[in-house]
Amino acid sequence: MTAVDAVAPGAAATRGPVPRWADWAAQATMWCALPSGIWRILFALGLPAGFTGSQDPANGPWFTLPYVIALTALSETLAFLSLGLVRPWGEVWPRWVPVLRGRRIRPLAAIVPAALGSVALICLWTPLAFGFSDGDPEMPHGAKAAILYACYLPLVAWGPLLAAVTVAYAVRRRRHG
Amino acid sequence: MSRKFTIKAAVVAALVALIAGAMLATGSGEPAAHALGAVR
Repeated sequence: MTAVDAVAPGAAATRGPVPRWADWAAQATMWCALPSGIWRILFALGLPAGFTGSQDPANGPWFTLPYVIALTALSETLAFLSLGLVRPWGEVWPRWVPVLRGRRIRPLAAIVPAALGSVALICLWTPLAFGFSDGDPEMPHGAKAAILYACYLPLVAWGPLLAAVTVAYAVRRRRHG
Repeated sequence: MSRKFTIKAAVVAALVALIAGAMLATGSGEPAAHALGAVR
C-alpha cells in the first residue's frame, strides 16, 4: 500500500490527511446503528417482533411510535457526528451554524465527548456479544430472537470504532492543529 | 443524485425489506410464547 492509498479521498480539505481506515471506520459507525433502528421502527409500526403480553406494543402507551422514531433519529444523529472526526466540519464550525460559523473547533471539544461516548457505547453494547437474555417469556424467542439479535449485534462494534476514530482525530489534530 | 448516494439508499432499502421480510416470515411469535406459558 502506498501513502496515497492510505489517505481518504475527501481528506484534502481537512487539516492533515485522514487515514483511509479512519474514514471507513467513521462511516461504519452509521451502518452499525442502522439495522437496530430499522428493526425498532418496524416493531413500533406493528410488524410482529415476538413480544407478547405486557411487552407487546399493542398493549403499550400511545407514544410508543413517536418515542421509537425519536430514539432511532437520535442514535443515527449521534452516529453521524462521528463523521465530523474525519471531515472539515469537525475542525471548523460550518456556515449553517449561527454565531459559531467559521470558528475553529478546539480539539478537546470533540475528543472529550467522543471518548466519553465511545466508553458509554462499549459499556452499553459489549454485553450483547455474549448473547441475549431470553429468560422473560414475553420477550422474543427462537427465530424472532435471532432477528432481534442480528439487528442489534452490529452495535457491539460502534463503541470500539468510535474510539479508534477518536484516537485518529486526536493524533491528526495534535500534528496538524 | 450521486452514485454513492444511490448505492447507500439501495442498501438501506434492501435492509428494510430484509428485516421486514424476516419479521413477517417468522409469524407472530405467539406459538413460542404459548409454549412457554406466557400467553393465556
